[in-house]
Amino acid sequence: MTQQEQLVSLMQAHQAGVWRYLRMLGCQPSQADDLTQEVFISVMQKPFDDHGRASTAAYLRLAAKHAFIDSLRSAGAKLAVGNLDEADAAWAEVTPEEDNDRRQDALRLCLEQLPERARKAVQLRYADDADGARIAAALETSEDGVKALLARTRGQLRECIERKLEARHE
Amino acid sequence: MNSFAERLLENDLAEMLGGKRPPDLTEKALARLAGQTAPVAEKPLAPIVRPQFHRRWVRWLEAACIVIALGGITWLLWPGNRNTDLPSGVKASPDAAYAVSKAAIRLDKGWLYIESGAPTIMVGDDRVDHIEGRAVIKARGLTPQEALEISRQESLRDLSPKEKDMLSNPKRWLAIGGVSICLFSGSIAVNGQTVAEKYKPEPEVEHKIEPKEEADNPGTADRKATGFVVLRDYTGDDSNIAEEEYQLIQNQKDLETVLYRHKGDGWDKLPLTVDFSKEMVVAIFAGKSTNMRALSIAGIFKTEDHYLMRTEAVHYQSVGRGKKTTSFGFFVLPINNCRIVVERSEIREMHGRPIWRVAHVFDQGAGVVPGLRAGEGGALKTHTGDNSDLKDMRLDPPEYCRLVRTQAEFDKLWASHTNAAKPWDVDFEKHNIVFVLQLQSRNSRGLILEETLVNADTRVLRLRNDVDFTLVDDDARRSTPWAMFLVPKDKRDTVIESKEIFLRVPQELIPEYDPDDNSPRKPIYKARGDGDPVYWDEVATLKG
Repeated sequence: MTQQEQLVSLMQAHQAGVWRYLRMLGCQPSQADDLTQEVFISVMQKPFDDHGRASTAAYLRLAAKHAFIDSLRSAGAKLAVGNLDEADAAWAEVTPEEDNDRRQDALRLCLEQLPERARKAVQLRYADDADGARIAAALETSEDGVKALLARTRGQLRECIERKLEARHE
Repeated sequence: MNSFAERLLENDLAEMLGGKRPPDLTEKALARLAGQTAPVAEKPLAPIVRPQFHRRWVRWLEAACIVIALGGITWLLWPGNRNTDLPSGVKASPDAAYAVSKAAIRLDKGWLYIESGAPTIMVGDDRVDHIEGRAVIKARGLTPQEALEISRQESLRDLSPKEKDMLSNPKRWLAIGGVSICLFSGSIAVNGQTVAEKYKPEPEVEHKIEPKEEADNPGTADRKATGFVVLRDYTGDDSNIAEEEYQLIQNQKDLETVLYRHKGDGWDKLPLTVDFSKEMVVAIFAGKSTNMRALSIAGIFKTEDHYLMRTEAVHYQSVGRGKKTTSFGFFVLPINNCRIVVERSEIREMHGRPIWRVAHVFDQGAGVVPGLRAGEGGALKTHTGDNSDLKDMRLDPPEYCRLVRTQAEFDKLWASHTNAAKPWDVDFEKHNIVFVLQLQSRNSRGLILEETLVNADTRVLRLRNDVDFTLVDDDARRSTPWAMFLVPKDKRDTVIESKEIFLRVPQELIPEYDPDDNSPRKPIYKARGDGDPVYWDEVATLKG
């Protein structure tokens, strides 16, 4: 397999996960695009053994973290790299065996279980990009009420995802 | 829920409900790999289609695959089926138990001698690979008797006397997880962490740093130090002490107290004995972490007025949630009564260029480390300025660090740097020049050497910008601060560290106003980072 073919194969399998991880670290989409490419190119330029999908995903995630830290360094951003341990913990908590699909499947099921009002708020916020005022008008409540409702709903979703992943794990 | 978990959920929602899926960057990456820069249009990844009616069938298929895989592994590991043909360059001990596959050798017992090009060695959950050089890998721990026996093995008769000495000396072996390694030369990766030959434990004499004379330390005659090195260590990942903590232990009673807190019942069976008449212990508890196997000492340095211990976390990679750990390290050191500063690397993973931060300071009273003497490897002279003509050259931004070893090299560099006369004549038989340039800065008058760290292998020059805080607003000016340092011509590597980000970006001045003062006036400026913890960011390593 040529280096280009290896790159294509590796990216098709893992680029979405790396991109999502970088977005979680705080990258804007354009920066996540750049760093994702950087990660795969740098990995291709070093000796790399494929020891399975999960292991490779974990390795790429580590490379992504370092690419992110380097980008902070060169941009002169304030470094708080210790906090990135929390990022790894947050990722591992809901991404068992580095499988993004399982996390998203769980989220899909949890969304279906939401009460009507909460589901509508989430739909308006994330599908329609509606601001607080618009959601408040649609739900006939105040903006503070929307804020509290969304925060509560995200908490419920998070707990639901963890429960579903845990159940599957057991 | 922390902010990362919150952000991950929000991104997932935006992706699932708003269609904001990760782009397909394959073509862009291919273009970059080929050295092209032409923009390539993004196209969204195809949505994941996982029809529900296929689920049950897919699960059966998954289960079947797992059964087949487990069967395959069992077959491979079954003694009768093991392939025991070692690749060329790999030798095994007579009692070794191992299995060879195309990708790796699994070592269960005994030792293997390996050279560059050897495949990955798996020992339990530990993974040893990327050997560049030569080493002996042993499964499980190592007793002094075993070390001696390995050094006498007939199959290793071709080793040099020095290498046989290394094998027979347990201090020259690294113990990482369930693997013991004697690295003769080069480097090797253990669980993803690269270990270079220079990081192996050295005999005490090579690290020896003379302590303060007794006469200067009244009352310490009976505690005369013999050097400042880690004599022994005891580390692991399962302490009962789950908060970050640093202890300097100088008597048996305190040690027992800490060991009891650390392990509870059974503390007296722990592998740590200390002779407090000439030794003391620095105990470090890393607090809660994930996949942190142990703490290790990355280096001990002497500075102008204290000793500096650098600790690093030894991590390993796993899939899924990882193992929750509470790592610890007990490091037995020769007694001294000097100030000891403990630094830790804020980048705790492999491949990262370290960023160091002071984690703890042990102020022990009157003891003072004698200042670095001329022959001890620090900078002998410094010279700095704020404008270099090198800014017009195409250099790798943002900084430019070079070790100048010859007069011709120095002449060429200086001619590109300035028309001014050289500040010193340099005898390149005895000295080298370390030249550091920052290509972009603002209001900097030059680079100040804030601290020098020295040990047998390395000198670290810690620099910061000398910023003129009186030049603000319209008076602010761009500068290209530079500095050069005369250092002894020795084999030490020279590491340049910058105080946080000051060497990397233009100094940012933040205006501060008194909120109660509404009168029009110029703000007071302060540098970003004032009052925050100091980070030392490794900028460059110049090989000695």
